[in-house]
Amino acid sequence: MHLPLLALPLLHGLFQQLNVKQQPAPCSRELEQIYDRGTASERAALFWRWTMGFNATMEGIHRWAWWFAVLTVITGGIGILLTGTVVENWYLWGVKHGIAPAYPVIDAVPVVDPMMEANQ
Amino acid sequence: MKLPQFIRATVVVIAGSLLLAGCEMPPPETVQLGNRGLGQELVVNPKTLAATVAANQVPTPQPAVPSVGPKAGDIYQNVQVLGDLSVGEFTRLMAAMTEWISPEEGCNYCHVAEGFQYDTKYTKRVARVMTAMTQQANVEWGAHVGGAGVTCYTCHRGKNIPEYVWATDPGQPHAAGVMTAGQNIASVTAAYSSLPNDPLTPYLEGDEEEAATLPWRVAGQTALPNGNRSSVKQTEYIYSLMMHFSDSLGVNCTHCHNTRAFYDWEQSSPARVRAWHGIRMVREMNTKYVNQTTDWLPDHRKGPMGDPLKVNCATCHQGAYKPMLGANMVKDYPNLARTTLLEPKEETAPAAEVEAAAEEMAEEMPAQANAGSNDQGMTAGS
Repeated sequence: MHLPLLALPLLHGLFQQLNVKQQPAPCSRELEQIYDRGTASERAALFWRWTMGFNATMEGIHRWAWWFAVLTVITGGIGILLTGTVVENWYLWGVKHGIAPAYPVIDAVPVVDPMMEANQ
Repeated sequence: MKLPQFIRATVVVIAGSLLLAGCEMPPPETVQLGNRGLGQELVVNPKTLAATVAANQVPTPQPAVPSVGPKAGDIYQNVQVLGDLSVGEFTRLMAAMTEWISPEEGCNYCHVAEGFQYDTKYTKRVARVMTAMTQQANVEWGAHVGGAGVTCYTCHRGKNIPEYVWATDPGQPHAAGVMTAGQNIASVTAAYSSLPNDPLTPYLEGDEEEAATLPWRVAGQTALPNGNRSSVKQTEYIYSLMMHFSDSLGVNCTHCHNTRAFYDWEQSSPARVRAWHGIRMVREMNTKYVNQTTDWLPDHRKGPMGDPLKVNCATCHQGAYKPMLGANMVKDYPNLARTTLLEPKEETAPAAEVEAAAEEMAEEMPAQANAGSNDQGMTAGS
């Protein structure tokens, strides 16, 4: 449930990396500039055009990123607040509401909790 | 221009090869243990399996001898645990124990030249405790060891001290006045995770009443809250113990659990019931047997906190999902699967006399009592 919160810094880092790492090392510019043109941001935009769609623009990419950053915090926060207060076990909650399957027992003779066995 | 690029390419190739060399060669094989789609499976790599099989070969049993004849307890002096064996069986078991535990040191690892009956060396007293412990495991803990049983070799494998033993972890060094959480450093016990360093002391030692107060079942078992107050820290403690289980047996969580519902016994494999009994067995071994050696065990056989080296899952399993891969070794040594205490008789050598003689001898040769041992396992698993 904390995944969105973890994803946020990751995404932030990804943006940073795309700008920083795309800058070529000064010593090897001669060869690379022949086949690898554009500023760091332009080349980073290529990546997002591949992932988001080819109409992505510098503005569109950052509008998405801004909402992503805001919404991951909000949804993550909601998850943290709900867990243990409104929902105890998300898997069982999913089973209860018909969005997760309940699996059948493995064997013809099911495994029994030894503590329940001792109490019987 | 060409040369630097060539060098760079070479470095990349070499570094890449080194990285890949750390991986296991595919493909691994999987054995399904639960419903499809749940990943409840054992992943084995045929290439590493060969090494596991080689490491878990059962030694050739000693030639069988008749169980009739006079009892060892009547013939020899100071036989306390194995008194009910015939003299032939007793000698056979002693030979086997030498082969299993002290193949290099021989009889002298436990016995002194003055007489086999003397308890001069601490190793002999340890052997007595360990023999009783082994018998107890086979007699009372069939729910865990049933079908294969345990012998001295299950843990010792030809070494004086089993390779995987543990003692209470004193924790990482830290500044005075600063509390440590007992976690957040790579811990061997917790399979190099940053979970609590030492889950073994709380979980695998102490009596049942103490154990009942520990966090075991931390996961909520209902869709909606019903008063489960287990904290993250408590959860991490039991997870740390589970990491130890997993590491010791060379299996994943899915060996026992459906990871979608860890708590649910009905969706667990039968191995989980075995493990449940195993926890209790190991706790009894440590509390009732190993810990009784605390008072007289030499310091170099103790952990940094002064407690004796104890048993955990790895002590027997040693990376295999079943110790010795499930081979039944105890069938060749049925006397390790029964209680062989003889009722004390008055005409046998009075214990006090033997003890007094042993003490005299211990004073004469303190160096010898502690010699003749390698220190394997002193640090492993701690």
